[in-house]
Amino acid sequence: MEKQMDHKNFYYPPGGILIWIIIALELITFMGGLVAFAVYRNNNIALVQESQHHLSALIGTINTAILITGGYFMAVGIKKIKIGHTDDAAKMILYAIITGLMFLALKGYEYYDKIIDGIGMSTNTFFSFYWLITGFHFIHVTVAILILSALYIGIRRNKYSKDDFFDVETGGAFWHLCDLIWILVFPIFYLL
Amino acid sequence: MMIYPMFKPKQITMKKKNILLIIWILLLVLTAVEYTFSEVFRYSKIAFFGIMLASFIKYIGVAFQFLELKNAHPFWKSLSVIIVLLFIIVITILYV
Repeated sequence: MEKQMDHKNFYYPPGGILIWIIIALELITFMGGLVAFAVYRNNNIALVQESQHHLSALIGTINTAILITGGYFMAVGIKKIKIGHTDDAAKMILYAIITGLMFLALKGYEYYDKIIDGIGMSTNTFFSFYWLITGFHFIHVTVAILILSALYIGIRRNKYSKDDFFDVETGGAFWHLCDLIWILVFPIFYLL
Repeated sequence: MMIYPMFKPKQITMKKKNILLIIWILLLVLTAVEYTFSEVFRYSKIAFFGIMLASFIKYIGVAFQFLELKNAHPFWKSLSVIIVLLFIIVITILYV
C-alpha cells in the first residue's frame, strides 16, 4: 500500500522544503536570464531572428520530448517505490537516466555543430545568452543524472523501500526541475 | 460498512499510473503543437500565443502531476503558478 506523507503540510511538499526552496530559486534565476534575453531581443529583433536560423527547432523539439519522457519515467518510478515495487522503481529510474543521457548526447551534438560552424559565446549577444542559459541547464541535467544514478544504486542495494523513499522523491524533484526549466527555455530560444 | 483494503490501494495505483500516462501523452502532443505553430506561423502573434499557452499547460502538467505539486500546501502551488504567470506576462509585454 502506498505510504502517504502529509504533503499538505507547508514544511513537507513532495521532496521536502529544501528542494522546493532550490526549485523556486532556480526557476527565478533562469526566468531572470530569459527575461534579460527578451529585453535584448526587443531591441535587436532582426539579429536575434537571423541568429535563431542557426538553431534547429526540430532538435530542440526532440530533446524536449526526450526530457518529458524522462520525467514520466521518474514520476512512475516514485509511484512504484511508494507501493513497494522496488525492482520496477529501479528500472524506471534507469530509463530516466538513459533519457537524460540521450538529451545530453543530442545537446552535445548541437553544441558540436555550433562549434564546427565557428559559433561561440562571443559570436554575438544572442549566442552569449544561448550558451550561458542552455549550458547551465546542461550542467543541471548532468547533476540530475548523477543523483539518479546514486538513487538507482541505493535502490538496488535495498537502501530505499516503500518505508524510506524520501531521498528518491527529493532526487525526482530535482529531475523535474530540469524539465520545468527546459519547458521555458525551449520556446524562447528555438520557437519564438 | 464493508471495506476491501486489499483492492483499494491497487485501484488507486492504477488510476495514478493512467493519469501519468495521459499527462505524458498530452505533454508530447503539446510539444508537437508548439513545433508546428513555430514552423507554420513563424514570428506571428498566433504562434506566440499558441506556443506560450502550450508551454504554460506543459509547465502545470509537469509541476502538478509529475512533481506531485497537486498534493502540496496551497503556498507551494500558488508560488509555482504565480512565478510562471509573471514570467509569461513579462515575456508577452516584451514580445508582442
